[in-house]
Amino acid sequence: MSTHHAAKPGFLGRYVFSTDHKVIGLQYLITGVLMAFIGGYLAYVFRMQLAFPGNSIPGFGELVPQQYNTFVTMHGTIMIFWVAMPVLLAGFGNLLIPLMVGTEDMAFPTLNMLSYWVFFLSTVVLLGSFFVPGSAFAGGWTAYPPLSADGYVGTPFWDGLGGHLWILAVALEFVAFLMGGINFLVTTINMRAPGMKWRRMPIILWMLVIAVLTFVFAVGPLIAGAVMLLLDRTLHTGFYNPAAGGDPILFQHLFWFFGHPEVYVLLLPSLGIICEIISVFSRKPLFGYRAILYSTIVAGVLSFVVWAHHQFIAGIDPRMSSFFSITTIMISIPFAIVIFACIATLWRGSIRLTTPMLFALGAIAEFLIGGVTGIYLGSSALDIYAHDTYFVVAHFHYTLIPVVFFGGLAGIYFWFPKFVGRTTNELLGKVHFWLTTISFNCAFLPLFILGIAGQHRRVFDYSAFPSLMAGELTMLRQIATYAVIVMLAAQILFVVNVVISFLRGPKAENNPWQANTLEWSVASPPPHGNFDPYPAVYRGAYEYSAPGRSEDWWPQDAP
Amino acid sequence: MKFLPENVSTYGGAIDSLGLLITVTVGACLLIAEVVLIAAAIVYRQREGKPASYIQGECWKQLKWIMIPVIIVVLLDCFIDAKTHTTWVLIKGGTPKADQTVRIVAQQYYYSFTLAGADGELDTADDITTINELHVPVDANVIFELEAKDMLHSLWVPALRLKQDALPGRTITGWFNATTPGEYEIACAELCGVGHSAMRATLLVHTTDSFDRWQAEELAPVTSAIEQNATGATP
Repeated sequence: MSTHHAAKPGFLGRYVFSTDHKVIGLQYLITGVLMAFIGGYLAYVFRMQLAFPGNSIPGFGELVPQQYNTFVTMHGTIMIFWVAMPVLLAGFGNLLIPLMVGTEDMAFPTLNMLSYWVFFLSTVVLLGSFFVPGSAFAGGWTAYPPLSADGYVGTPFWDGLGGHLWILAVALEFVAFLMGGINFLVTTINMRAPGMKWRRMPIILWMLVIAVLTFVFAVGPLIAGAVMLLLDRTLHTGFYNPAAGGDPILFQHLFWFFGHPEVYVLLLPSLGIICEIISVFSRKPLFGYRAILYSTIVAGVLSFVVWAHHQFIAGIDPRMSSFFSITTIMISIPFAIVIFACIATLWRGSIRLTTPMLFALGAIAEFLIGGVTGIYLGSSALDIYAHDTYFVVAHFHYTLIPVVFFGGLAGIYFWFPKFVGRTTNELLGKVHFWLTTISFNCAFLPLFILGIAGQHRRVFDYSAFPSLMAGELTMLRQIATYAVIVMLAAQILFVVNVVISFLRGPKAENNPWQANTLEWSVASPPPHGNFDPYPAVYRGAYEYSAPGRSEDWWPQDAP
Repeated sequence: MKFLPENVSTYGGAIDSLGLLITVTVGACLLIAEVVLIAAAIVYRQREGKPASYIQGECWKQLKWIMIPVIIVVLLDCFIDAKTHTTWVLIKGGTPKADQTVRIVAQQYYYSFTLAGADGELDTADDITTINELHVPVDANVIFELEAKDMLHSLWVPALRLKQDALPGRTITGWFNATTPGEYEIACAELCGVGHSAMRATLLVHTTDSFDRWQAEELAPVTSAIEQNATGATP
């Protein structure tokens, strides 16, 4: 045991400035979940405006166009960078990596603590930007210049403070995730228990490693792009200003060179969670471990050559489009393999439809819709019509909500007994699942139709467009809004479930789901230092229903 | 699709049929995948005395059950890619011979359209500039030169299946050919600031006669001014 376990830390050292990966993981997870409620509230406000334009919104008041742009921007920023990233990558990564590889903590515990507190600072900066003069950033979460670099029209420094803080917050957050990412890599590479060969690692560890590598390779160009944007805003340089010899499209390339791999940075940890859960609750080995692994590596590499599909009609050379159209449509192949492998895992299993399993299956069922609608947008010629319409909005919510919310909730319900030491209520969990699933589909299926009708994005009020004010389309907007309200309200069940279970749920056993991976071999919650003695690993993570055994699971550390 | 706006451009049909192709192919795949997923989750639920089968999916004999569907997906992908490419080249591969030339300038928060007129040259005396109204004759190849003054904008004409971003500092050339006289909405599809929602213009597709009449009316003051100048010049 390393020295940091020697002195018994006080409350602050144990729960606030802790170097324990489990506490840090929970801090990331809880911060992310709380931010999700802020992002959800913003969505509620602008959905109400879209359904009932001009009316005063209960719980907010009247929304003006500038606020609308701010809310849309901050909703996207928060949900991607302050919910998906901390929950899926930092939260689950920190909680699971040391336990699953069979070690006491991350390789660099202090760096890990610093990672969370830099992230916390970035959260404060981001939320603080709502309260500065001129309010928070309103240039869209993609921050395309010249709009995002409003310095060109001579905005004084202090009036653009919200935008400066937005860039600062994003930069701080990336610093936090780089520190966390280095920890993930070093811990997984160097600190695996004896016998934990690469091929025996639970697939989620592979997914986390590939996600981190993708993030690390992609983030550099974005940081360069963001620095140039900040300079354009504050010092009135002209990196993106054509009047000064710059080019606004440069930023789009830098942004999406990061932005598309980023989608897979979110997707992979979630797919890892889904794979673990489906295997455990089918009582079957994960189908095609190697096929999934190689597909994921191919997808990670391919994700670096698809970015310009966000820019088919942005004014790039038309001859580039066919290349990016082909790579984009081809990236569906590795993901088809992973998803089919998940479905094949169910085949001739003995399936337990527990709450985490329902969320995992729901994630796949919904993500399929998100995946196939991506083909419409990846097709450059069809994208001429579909780009910047609600078809895009519906598509990426059908990818991100299954990944972030269904996958994240599946993971929370699955590992709650392990990390809290108490069991959640199954009935409440199942009601939560069905309410969330039904309301989610009612909220976002109408957006596909609105997109097909030509409804364009980021618009405060459609009254200037009679064709979009047709009765049926107005009704679809209202259905979507009501469904969002139900979806948000359904999350109260989750909060109630988690809080009551935390306070007085039934005590959890060490291995309530009879799963194989190492985290289930220790106490719930795992003690500081995790293992005593260190475990040895004898087999892969998915030996369920192995022939010739009386039990249908076979822990990795059982001799 | 009753929600899809009526198509009034020559190449719009190609985009619509590409959409139909994708809907049919990926729609069928989606349906099969969802049915298999849901059926598997129901059929293979835990039952007394029916343990799960130990299937690792590491050999081809087992992997073929996912690889054969994947190969079908690849073939469909190739099919979609091919159709995408031909459609893209049809629209973006070059511009046809111009019947009308128009300069479109997008700025916060309106469009201005400058029609080159009969001589086909911009910046001559017979140019007609209109704000938020684009007048074109039916069945004519209209070549546009798209510019932006301040922010990014995006010329968006659903009925023409036409969308093109406009960038400050660049002139982007494109074309369309409208097939049905009438009035159609033009929007801005790229967030351009606080007035983005109100950025709205109208495309007016005229019959040839009505376009000639409109052009003559618009040019009347110019023509008379030229004539006055001409008469004033002779003592």
